[in-house]
Amino acid sequence: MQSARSQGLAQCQHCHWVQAISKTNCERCHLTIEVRIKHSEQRCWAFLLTAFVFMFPANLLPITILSSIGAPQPETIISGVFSLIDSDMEIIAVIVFVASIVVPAIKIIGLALILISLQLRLHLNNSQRIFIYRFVDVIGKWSMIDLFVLSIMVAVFQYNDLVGVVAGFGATAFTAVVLLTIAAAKSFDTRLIWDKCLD
Amino acid sequence: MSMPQATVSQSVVPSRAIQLVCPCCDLLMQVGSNHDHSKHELICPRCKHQVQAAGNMGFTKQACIAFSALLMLIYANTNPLLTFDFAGAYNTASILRGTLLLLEQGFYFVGGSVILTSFVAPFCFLTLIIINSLCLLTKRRPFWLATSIHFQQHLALWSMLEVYLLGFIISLVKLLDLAQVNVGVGIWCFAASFLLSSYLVHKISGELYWSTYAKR
Ligand SMILES: [Zn+2]
Ligand SMILES: [Zn+2]
Ligand SMILES: [Zn+2]
Repeated sequence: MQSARSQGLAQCQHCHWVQAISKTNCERCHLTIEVRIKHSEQRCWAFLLTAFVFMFPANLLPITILSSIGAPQPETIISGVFSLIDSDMEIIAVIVFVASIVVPAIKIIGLALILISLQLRLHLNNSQRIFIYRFVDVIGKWSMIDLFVLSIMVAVFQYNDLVGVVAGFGATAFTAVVLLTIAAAKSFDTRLIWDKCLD
Repeated sequence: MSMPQATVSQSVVPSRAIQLVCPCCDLLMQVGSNHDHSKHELICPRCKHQVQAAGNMGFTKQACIAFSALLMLIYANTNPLLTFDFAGAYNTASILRGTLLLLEQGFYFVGGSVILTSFVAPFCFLTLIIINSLCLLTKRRPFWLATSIHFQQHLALWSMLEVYLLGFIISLVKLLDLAQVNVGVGIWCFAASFLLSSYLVHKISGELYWSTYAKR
């Protein structure tokens, strides 16, 4: 099994046309060819570490502020999960908990694990690495759920005098976590797994 | 495994065995010219990535499905998803209204991301399918066509209609706890739009786009 690069060939990342590695523009679609994503590992680390930093405000600051008749009630992700359990909506609570807390954590840990295992050449085989990557890639978008729920709730109570829903700064940090982890997964070039370790 | 010395063919139609590369692991593969990729999918032997999906949906069919999905998406975004009575007030929610309110509250980043993933990305994805397949059908090749096909392929990633649907179900359950909720037609159109566009994502062959594009 040989990689295209070792044979002096490169694949256009847009139209998947195979051609000599010396070409800068694709013969078929004329777009610019990148044989590998440039500085893939550094970019992935940068996105991951920033996402990790934003995990703290995302989980500690309120993402919604409910204003009912009394004082405004700020609600963080985790307190939202607990209030769902209190109102006997365990299934919803589990979905929100998994999507908003478990998924971003798994994404950061999973990608960091692949990067560390590649850089230190730890004992993981390539099929395990690509399995982790694909898992991270598939679950990635599901953490947007809480933001969609927020936007629906804001719209629902827009004309209500008694109850109002306003976003909190935690929502901004949480959006940053979601987008940064997606960007981290996209900036990681999976071909590096086979470039570095041929097992 | 021996691999014949790679010869880069300058013509767009390769001679006999076709050289393919797995985009996921960069494995160089040889595929016999008798491989019928309208019937069989191609899986990379090394990383199990699906290199080519089975099936070749024609451009006319694609454009028609994309057009219906687009109409459904526009309807879903402009009409109420749900209405309900709570605390004496009549409440209604539509997708665009929710995100615009987030923007009004000063949450540009949050509102922008929500509007991008629930409306702009699927909208542009479907519009580009219509434009690109019509261009290829009528053999027009405007200078921006390659870039536009490129964006069509990459925008599918940012379209998160299925996640929005699950978010809607969660909101519905939360609201049912408070009051009587009436689900609007909007959400059914939204679901239809999701089904049609995910069918497109799985059935569209990028290879068909580029090989037609390359034919002069
Ligand atoms: Zn591209
Ligand atoms: Zn190309
Ligand atoms: Zn592969």
